[in-house]
Amino acid sequence: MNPDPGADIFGQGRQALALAVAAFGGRGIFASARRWQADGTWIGPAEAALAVVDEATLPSGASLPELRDQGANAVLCSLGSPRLGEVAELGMRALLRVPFASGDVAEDRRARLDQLAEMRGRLSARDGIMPVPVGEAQGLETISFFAACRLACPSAHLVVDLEIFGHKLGQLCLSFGADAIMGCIVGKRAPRLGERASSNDLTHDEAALLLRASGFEPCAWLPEGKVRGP
Amino acid sequence: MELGGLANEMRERLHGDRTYWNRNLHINPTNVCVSACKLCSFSRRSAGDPGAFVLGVDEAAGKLAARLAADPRVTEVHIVGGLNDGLPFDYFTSLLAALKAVGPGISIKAFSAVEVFFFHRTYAMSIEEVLRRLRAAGLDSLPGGGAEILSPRVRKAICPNKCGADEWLEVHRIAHRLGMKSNCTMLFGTVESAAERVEHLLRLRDLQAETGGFAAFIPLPFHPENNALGDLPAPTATEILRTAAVARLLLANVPHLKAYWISLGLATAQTALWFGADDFDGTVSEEKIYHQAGARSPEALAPGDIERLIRAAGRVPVERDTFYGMPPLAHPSAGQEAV
Repeated sequence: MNPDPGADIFGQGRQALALAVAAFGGRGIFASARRWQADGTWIGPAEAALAVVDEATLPSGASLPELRDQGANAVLCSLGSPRLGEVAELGMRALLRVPFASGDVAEDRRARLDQLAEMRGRLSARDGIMPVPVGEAQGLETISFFAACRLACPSAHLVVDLEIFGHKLGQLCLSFGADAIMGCIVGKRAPRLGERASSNDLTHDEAALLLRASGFEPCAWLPEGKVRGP
Repeated sequence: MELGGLANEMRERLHGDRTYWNRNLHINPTNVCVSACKLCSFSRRSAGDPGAFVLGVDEAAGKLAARLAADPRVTEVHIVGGLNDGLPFDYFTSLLAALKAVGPGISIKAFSAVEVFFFHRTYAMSIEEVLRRLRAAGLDSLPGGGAEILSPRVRKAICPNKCGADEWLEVHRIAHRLGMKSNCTMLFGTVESAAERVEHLLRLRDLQAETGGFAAFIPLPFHPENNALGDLPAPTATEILRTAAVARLLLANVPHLKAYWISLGLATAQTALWFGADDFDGTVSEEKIYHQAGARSPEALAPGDIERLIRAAGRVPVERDTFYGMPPLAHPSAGQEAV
């Protein structure tokens, strides 16, 4: 049985948004990110606040301290990852990947959200939760899942990866519990012409606009883990 | 969220969970256009410009034949193009006739009010005569494009050479009087104010109260890529959904509101089905206008994909024809009997 994505989407959204606003005093985060590749290179702006390594693509034997020395400051981890403690000890951000799929069995999804709820006490203020679709990201399914994550974990950062969801659906998630957007966010981007017309890159002003349009006061995550206010 | 809930109530009162879609084909006869609208990423100024094209009548007929061969249940051809003053009027009537010859049962929804008005001016015929001659050649209904914002100030800023707001409405008024249905649109997110958007919707509502000829309203967010307004930010998803919801509430006398997935993107279109929209548009195939403006949606969807996307949004897909009736199982091609 699929979860019913349309079930009281307005009530769910209202509740999730209220929790997100309450948790962070109405501030919304944008985080410029670069991502570590398995070949040892980085993709994304060099000045990015987040330098993210994905636990799932680390070569065997790769050590987080070494990656941190190469600039990494955030680790994309699975729920219940054995590396969570080490990530915290190293002062890196943990971004908890929470998968969801269009064909999810309702009980499985519930169990995943229960597991997420149990993580509440283990997340620091710098950590975040990142819902990630398995396969195609559906509209209503996505916003509904973001809202469910916010209800499960009311006070953690709920981060939208714009590389996955794009600007439109990503921004919509901000009305359904998310409080942070992450992507290639730069001071100046190339014009959207020709081959660049479909680029997901955003300027700081454009990222701030997405947050403002959802009612948040935009703030930026800084590389050293601090937040720059409006 | 409150606005969305209200729009959804009205949507469900009118249509329940039903979400309409159709099997259609888009044909753009030409991208050569004298209008030079700042908002456009599709047009070329003259026939000699790189990328400029005029589709041959046989070529267009061939596209429909190929589409029908792939899916005999296609019910509609949607045709819009540039304002090309290098073409004779016969080109357009021949185009319609050739398409009807290939698919006699196909409904042809063609030529925005802007194009019809351009024909009226270019070929020195009354609007009514243009419509009558097009209809005699095979035209069934008008698409809703070219309305942009029905405000002289906005039109002067973004599309000064197109027909005016009154003229756009007049073309639809005459079409409705002749018994033709049409759609209406609003292109939002350029230089218009909120008040101008509301004024636009109210003008559409007034005409609908007078004629009852609009079948559907289609909100179209501006795409800033590859055009002269590229420094404007694209409307956010929240703004798109808010606009759809306001339109659903204000245009209570227009039966359908379309979430045109090509323009909105699939995910936003799915979500719009809970913010007032009851129609997902069609399979399309080969869309050029929005994709040259940076649309990231696919260029076509298979019927199964559309039904899956609608179901995934918690709605019930209902296949329709142009006029929101049940489509036949298959259309007879020329020289064949209906099965």
